[in-house]
Amino acid sequence: MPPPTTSNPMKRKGPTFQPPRQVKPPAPSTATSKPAKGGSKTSAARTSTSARKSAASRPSFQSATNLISSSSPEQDDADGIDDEDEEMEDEDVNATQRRPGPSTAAALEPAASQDTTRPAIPPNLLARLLHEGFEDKDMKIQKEAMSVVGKYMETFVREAIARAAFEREDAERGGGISDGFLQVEDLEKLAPQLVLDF
Amino acid sequence: MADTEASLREERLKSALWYSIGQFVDEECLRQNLNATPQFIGALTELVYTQISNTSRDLETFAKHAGRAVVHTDDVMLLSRRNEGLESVLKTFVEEIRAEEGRAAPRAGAGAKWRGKAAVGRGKGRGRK
Repeated sequence: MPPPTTSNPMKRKGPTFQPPRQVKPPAPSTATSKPAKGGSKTSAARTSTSARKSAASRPSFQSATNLISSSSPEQDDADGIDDEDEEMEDEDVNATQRRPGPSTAAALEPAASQDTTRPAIPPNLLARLLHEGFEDKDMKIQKEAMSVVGKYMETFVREAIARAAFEREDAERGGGISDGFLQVEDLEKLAPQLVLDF
Repeated sequence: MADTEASLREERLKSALWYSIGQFVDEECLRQNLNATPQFIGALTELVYTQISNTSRDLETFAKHAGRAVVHTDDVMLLSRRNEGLESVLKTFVEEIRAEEGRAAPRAGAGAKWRGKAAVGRGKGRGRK
């Protein structure tokens, strides 16, 4: 599988984009970043399989309890999860096999932005939690709105972690406990402002 | 009886949330070279759970105020009304989604999708091809 794909991008790349210059930098950069990536990617692969498991088990659970009023978002969400998995597998292949040319650029881009790797909360779970919170059980939510809520909650969690890391740095500079572990007290300090901001 | 059932369900939902938050935090920590205590993850789960239930009540209220029984993207955008940074994040996200959907064939969409599309087309005065 990999050898034909490696040869194709090379050939394609030569004529369309230009230089031998660009071929050089990507190769060493992937080589240097590879060990660090290897660790996180394997864990990503592991989590993706478990996510798949939970995704497989959840829809049946929901239909059994009959609580979700809208069915189309769930199906779309399930599709979304599958796409995510495929993306991660692709990344895995790119990281381990070190393809040259445009494919490395494609591999580096998601690693740089990293927002697209996986949602903080699985869409199915978030939909269930939202419907649980509605007082009117006939309330429905659009698919697009659902994914925007997903983004909103992901931003919330990311922000919480980032602020906690910031609090930890502060605390360590002030001479507190310094084992580098995020503590509940960090969260306690940031929670009021965080909730006000969201 | 009903109370215990409801609380049981809540507990199960919370543990599901705990699991996914835990995984997300672990990933973030690997990326940023940090560590998090299990207590931190538990507390964060509690915070997120509360935030989600507040959010869902807000969304319901917004939609009802607009005289709808369906939450639209506009209602979600209202969540970010007090935070400009967040608003721009969500706006770019919505634009990305719409760009992707525009590229994908719109006719294959389900009922809800189609309705959304039609509404968008009408709003901006551009017809579907």
